[in-house]
Amino acid sequence: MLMPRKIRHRKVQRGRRKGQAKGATRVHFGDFGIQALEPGWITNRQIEAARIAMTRHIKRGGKVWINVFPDKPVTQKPAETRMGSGKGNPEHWVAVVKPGRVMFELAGVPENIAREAMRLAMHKLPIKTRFVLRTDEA
Amino acid sequence: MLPGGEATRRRTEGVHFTSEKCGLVVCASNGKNGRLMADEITLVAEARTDARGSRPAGRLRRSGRVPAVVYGLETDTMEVSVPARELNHILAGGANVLITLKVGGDDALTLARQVQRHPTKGELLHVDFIRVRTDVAVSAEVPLHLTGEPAGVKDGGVLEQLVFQVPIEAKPQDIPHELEADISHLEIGSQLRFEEITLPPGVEATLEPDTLVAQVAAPRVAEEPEAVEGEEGVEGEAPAEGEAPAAEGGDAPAAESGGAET
Repeated sequence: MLMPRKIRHRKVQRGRRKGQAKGATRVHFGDFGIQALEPGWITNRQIEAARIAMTRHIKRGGKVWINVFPDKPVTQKPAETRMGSGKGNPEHWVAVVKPGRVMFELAGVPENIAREAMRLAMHKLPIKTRFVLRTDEA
Repeated sequence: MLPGGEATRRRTEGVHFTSEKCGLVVCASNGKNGRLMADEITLVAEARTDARGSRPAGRLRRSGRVPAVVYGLETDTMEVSVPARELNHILAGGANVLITLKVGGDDALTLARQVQRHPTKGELLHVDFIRVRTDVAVSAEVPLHLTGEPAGVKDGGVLEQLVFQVPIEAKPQDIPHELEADISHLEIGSQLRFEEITLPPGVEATLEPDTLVAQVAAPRVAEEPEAVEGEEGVEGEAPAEGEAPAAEGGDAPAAESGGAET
């Protein structure tokens, strides 16, 4: 699963997710994409599940790009622990996604197959998303 | 607003349409060699006299106009607003459209550049209009469309297109709406270089001739479970080792092993 090889800080603050995506808002590499319509944290497991759903549906051929990387550690305190005693342990990794971000791209398959593959992948994600196509506008 | 397909159809068929209400005049025409060339379009703009800033710009957008700026040819920069609906019509067929902006009593021949859109709604937020002269070449980016089904794809290969926009230099009226390249001859493992693409007369590309434009790759033979295992191994063994205890609620977190390396 996707995660950083090395990091500067083991634990980070949660941060805010206001605003829209600044870049990667259009399909750049492939022909089709999944675009986020809400802000959210996407875990590396969800990214992997979406990728597997897509690649299984397209069987062979096609190429998948993942444009988000889970580089933010999320901590959790163990169950039935009293508050205090510092921040919890890093449990998993998330990618911070803002509305407009094209998270996955796909190429090399017909549109009907891409739509179905991406529909399956969208069900693995915790936020509202939509299917987008490449546009010619520079 | 016309849907994209309808706008393209009208453009390809050379349909002329006029909107008196907004002062938009569009005369689409087919260019040389059957390629679509820049159209002649007139758009009425208003000089912006209101205050600057995001809130006046927001009010402008809500009233159906788009804030824009006109510059180039060593003249003063001018802040204007244009009707959003009409500009959307124009840009539906491509960004390289010659637009005559009527501001006050002046006409300026321009090309739309830096078209900013809302990331999810797709609404126009801001446009730069660059002044051009018909006798001076300008740089532009033209979409590249591949035509035909490659022989390699019929045999199970995967077509990979690497260049989608071609940077060119041409006189404004010679800028094509799109470039086309026939790829039906491509076999599995063969490549299309940029030098093999024929450009329309008057157009010079600034791309290196040996740039790889498209290729037909052999299909992936690895089945899904193998692909997953392979990627896990590649993504970094050290964090993967650290993750297991973290997932079980142990003291050693996923990041710890990574952090120790720094």
